[in-house]
Amino acid sequence: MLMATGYDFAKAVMPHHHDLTKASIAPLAMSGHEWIVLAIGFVVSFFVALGVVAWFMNWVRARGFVPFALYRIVLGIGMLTLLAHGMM
Amino acid sequence: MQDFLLSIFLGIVEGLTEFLPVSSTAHLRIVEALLHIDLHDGFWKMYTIVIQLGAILALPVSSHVSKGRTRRSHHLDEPVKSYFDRVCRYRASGLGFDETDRQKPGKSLGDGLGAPHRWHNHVGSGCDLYPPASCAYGRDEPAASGVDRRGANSLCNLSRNFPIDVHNRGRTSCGHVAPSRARIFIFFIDADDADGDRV
Repeated sequence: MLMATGYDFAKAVMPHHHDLTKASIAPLAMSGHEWIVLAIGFVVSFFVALGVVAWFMNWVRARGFVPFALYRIVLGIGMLTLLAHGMM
Repeated sequence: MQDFLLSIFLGIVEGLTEFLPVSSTAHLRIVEALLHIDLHDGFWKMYTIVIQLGAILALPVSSHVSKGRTRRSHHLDEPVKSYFDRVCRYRASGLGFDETDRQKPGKSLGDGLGAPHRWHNHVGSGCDLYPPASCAYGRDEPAASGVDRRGANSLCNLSRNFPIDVHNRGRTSCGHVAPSRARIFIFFIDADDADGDRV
């Protein structure tokens, strides 16, 4: 996961030699506002994930994966319905 | 301000979905479509990668914290653990404990860390914990069940030698209870003790 994320990150910050239509961003060129937005997202996702990891082990032990399977099915049907009605 | 709120919201979505068996990327795409924002190019593309990195880093941190807790717990429990390993005779599951007991407060043998439950039913010799007495322990909570008076008394004596609490659930009394994090639970079942007395 870390390597895949690192690869994505490298692609995002390095110039696109093969596709000049794609935008890239240099971290050093980011504004202070963008750095703060980035830091907030990083910190929030870190702590939320930390809580989820701790909670998830107990959840799976008690209830298994069935609720997640049901959630995915319901979400998929909901998304397909929205797409079919042109709402997404 | 709107960017900050969006950043918090996306961070929550990413953190919630990264380790659940649902697609975090798909959820970001759904949010993107519902909020009519573009996360594909430039800053926001990098942003989605960075928040994914933040969520991923939570895993080694969580693992490190758990290992530290386990190490401390093992350290605290070591004297009791070695004692139990040496003297425990009977399978605890047949004497009032079962797999579901670890879910019950006060009767817990669970480790609290998600590790597999471990029973110890070693048969040793020359022990001073009289059978029929049984003990088992979890990683955080050593526990024992004494099924006769002598077994219970030996568990009580155990509390004099090791920093453990004895929680008496039967009809015996412990003259001494040492304060500690580790706990021993004594239970009686209908069984004849070694002297033939029913307790």
